[in-house]
Amino acid sequence: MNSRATFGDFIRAADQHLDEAFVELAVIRTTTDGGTLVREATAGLRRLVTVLERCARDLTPADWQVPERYRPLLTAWGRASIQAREALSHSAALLRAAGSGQEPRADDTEPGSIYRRLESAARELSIGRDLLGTHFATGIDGSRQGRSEWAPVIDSDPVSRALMAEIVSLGAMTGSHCARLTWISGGTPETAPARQRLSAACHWLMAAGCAIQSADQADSVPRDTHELLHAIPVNAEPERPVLRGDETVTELCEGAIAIAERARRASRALVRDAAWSPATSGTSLRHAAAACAATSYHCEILLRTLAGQQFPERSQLHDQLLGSADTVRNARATWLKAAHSWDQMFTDAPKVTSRAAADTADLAYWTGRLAFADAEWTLSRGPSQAIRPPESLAANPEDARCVIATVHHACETITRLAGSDYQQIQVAARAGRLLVTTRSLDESYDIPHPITRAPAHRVDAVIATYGDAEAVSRTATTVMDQLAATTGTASRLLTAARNAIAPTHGDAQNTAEVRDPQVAPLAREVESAGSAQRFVRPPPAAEDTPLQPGTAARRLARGVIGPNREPPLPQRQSACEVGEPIVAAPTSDAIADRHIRIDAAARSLGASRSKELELEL
Amino acid sequence: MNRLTKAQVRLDTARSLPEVLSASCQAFDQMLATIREHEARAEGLFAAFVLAAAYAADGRDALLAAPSLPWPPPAAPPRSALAVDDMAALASDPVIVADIDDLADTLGDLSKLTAAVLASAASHALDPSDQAACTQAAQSADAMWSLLARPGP
Repeated sequence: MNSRATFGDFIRAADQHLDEAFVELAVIRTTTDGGTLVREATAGLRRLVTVLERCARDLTPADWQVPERYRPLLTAWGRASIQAREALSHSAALLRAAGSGQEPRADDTEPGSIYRRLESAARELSIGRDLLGTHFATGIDGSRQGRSEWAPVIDSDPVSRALMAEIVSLGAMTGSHCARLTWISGGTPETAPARQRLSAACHWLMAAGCAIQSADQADSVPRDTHELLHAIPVNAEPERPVLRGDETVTELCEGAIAIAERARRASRALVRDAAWSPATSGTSLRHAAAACAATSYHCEILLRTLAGQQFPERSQLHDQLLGSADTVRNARATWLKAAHSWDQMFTDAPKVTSRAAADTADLAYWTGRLAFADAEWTLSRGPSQAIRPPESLAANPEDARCVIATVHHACETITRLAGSDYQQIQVAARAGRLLVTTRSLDESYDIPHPITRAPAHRVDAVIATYGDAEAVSRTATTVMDQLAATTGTASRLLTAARNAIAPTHGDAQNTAEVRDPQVAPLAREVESAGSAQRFVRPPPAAEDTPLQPGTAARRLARGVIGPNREPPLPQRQSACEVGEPIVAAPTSDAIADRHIRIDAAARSLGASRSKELELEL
Repeated sequence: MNRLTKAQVRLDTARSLPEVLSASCQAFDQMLATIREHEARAEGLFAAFVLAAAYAADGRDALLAAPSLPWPPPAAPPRSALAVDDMAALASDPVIVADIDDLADTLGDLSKLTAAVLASAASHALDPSDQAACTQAAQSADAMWSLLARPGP
C-alpha cells in the first residue's frame, strides 16, 4: 500500500546509469574520436557535478567559510565535508569553463551515450535531492524549517555524513573513469585545453572522494545509517487505506502502518496551535486517549497471539514477545487513566475531533481487525470477539515479522501522540483553555455556573497522567525496538531514525565551547551557519555549567557537536529468531565497492600515464 | 433497581425541556460511570467500551452548555475508587450484570432511548443554543448506541 518513492530509489538509479557509462568508458579505444568524447564527457560530467555540488552545499553551506586556523577545531567529518565541498566547487568551475558552448543540444546532432548516461544520473540525483527537500520549507525569516518527521533525521549528523559519503563517492568514481579519457589519443591540439580542464576537474572529484574516505576511515558511518538514508520517502501523506474485508495479514499490517504514519504526521501540528486551535478540544483529547488505549489492547493481543505460535526451539523469542505484551499492557493502563482524566474536563473549543484523533481511531480499528478473527470486525460490538488464532495470524515468518512491525509502528505512534498531547495540554492550560464542571469540584468552590476554569491541581494531575502515558509508551516502544531488531523487521528503521536524532551529548558537556577562547569565534560563525554547526569538535574537557539560552553555544549544544559521536545503534542479533531480516542490499558494501573501484581506476590511470610517458620519452 | 434503570425511568418520565436535559445529563453520567467500572474486563468489547465512554462524556458536555439545563445540574455520580484492572472493587458495584454482553445491551438500550429523547427535544426547543446542545448530545448518544448495540437489523 505504501508505494512512495524513497531517496534510495534515485541514488540506486543514478548508480545504475553511472555503471552503464563506466562500461562504455572502459571499452573506448584510441581509434575513437578523442575530441568528441572529451566534449561529451565534459558536458555530462558538468551536469552531474553541478548536482553533486548543490547537494554538498546543502550539507555545508558555501557561505560558511572556515578560516584555515579554525579547521583543526573541526571534526574529521567537518574538515572532510568542507574540503569535499570546495573540491566539488573547483571541479564544477573547471567543467563550466571547459564546457561553455560545447553541451550537446536537442536540435544538434544526437548526443552520445556517455553524455546521456551521465545526464540521466545527474537527473536522478537531482530528483533525489528534491525529494529530501520536500521535508523542509523556508520560513518567513528565510530559515529552513522541517515539515515532517523525517526532517530532523535528514538534518542529523549521521545521515548527513552518509549522504555526503554517497554523493562524493559517486562523483569520485565518475571522475576516476572520465579521467581516463584525457589520455586517449585522437584529440586535436585545439581540444588540449578542454582535456586539461577535464583532467583537472576529475582529479578534484577524486580529491573530494579521498577527503571523505579518510573521514570515513576515522569515523565510519554505520550500515544502518545508509539504510536509513535510502529509506527516506518523499514527504507525502500516505493515502488513507480502505478495508475491503478480504485482506491478508500482510495487507492489514501495511494498512495499519500507513495509518500509524498518518497519525504521527497529524500530531505534529497540534502543539504549535494549541493555544487557539479548535482541534485542541476535550473531544479530541479524550477520543485520542481512548483510541490509544484500544490500540494498546490490540497490540497486546497480537503479541500474546504471536507468543502462542509454536516456534520450535524459539523460547527466547517467546519470552521476548510475552515481555513486550506485558509492557504494552502497562501502556494501555496509563492511556486508560489519561482517558479517565477527560471525564470531568474539557476545553473551550466546540465539539471538534482533530485529524490526529480520527487517525488514532483508525489505528485502533486496523490493529483490531488484525487481532480479531472476524473478517467483519469493527470497533463497534460485532457478532464475535474471538481472537485470531496464531496459525492465522502468523502462517509464516514473513507474516510474523509484519505483525511485529505493525505493533512497533503502533507503539511509536502512541508514544508520539502522548508527547504531543502532553505539550498540547500544557499550552492549552497556559492559555486558560482547560475547563471543568463545577460539580466535579469540592464544596469549597462556590461558583454559580456549570463550567469553570480548571484549578491548578487538576491541570497538574492531567499533565502528570500524560507524562506517565508518554514514559510508559516509550518503554513499550523501546521493548519493541529490541523485538524488531531480534526479528529483523523493516520497522527497525524507526529505531535508527530515533537514534540518529537523539542527542548524545548533554548541554552541559558543550558549555566549554563558549568558554574556550579558541572555539568562541568559530561558535559565532556557526551561529549564522545553519546546518554546518554539526562539524565543530568539542574541547577535550567539559565543564558542568549550564548554558545560557539563546547563545551560539546553546545552538551548538543542541546541534550535533562532536567527533565520533555515533548514536548508539542497537546491536544486531547474529541469529534471527523468525527468519532472515528484511533488509535492503548492504549499502555500505556498495560504498566500499565504489572506493575499491576508484582506487583500481586510479591505479589503472597511473599505469597508463606511466606507459604514455615512456612512449613519449 | 440499579442506576441505569433509574436513569431510564427518569428519561421516560421527563416531559419538559429542563427535565429532559437534566435526565439526559444524568443518563450520560451514569453510563460513563458504569463503563468506567467495567471496561477493564470488557475484553473483546474493550474498544467499544472505551470509545463509548468518550462519547458519553461528549454528550454530557454538550448538555452542560444548554441554557435550559436546570441549576444546579444533576450531581455527578461519586467517583469510583476503582483502579484500572482492579476487579476486587466490583463487589460493591450497584450495576450487577451477569456478563459484559448484558451490560452492553443495557447501555445500548439506554443510549438509544437518550438519543431519541434528545432528538425529539431538539426539534421542540425554541432556544437555538438548546437545540444545538440537544442535537450534539443526541449524536453522541447515537454513536454510543452504534458502538454498543448488538449487530443485526
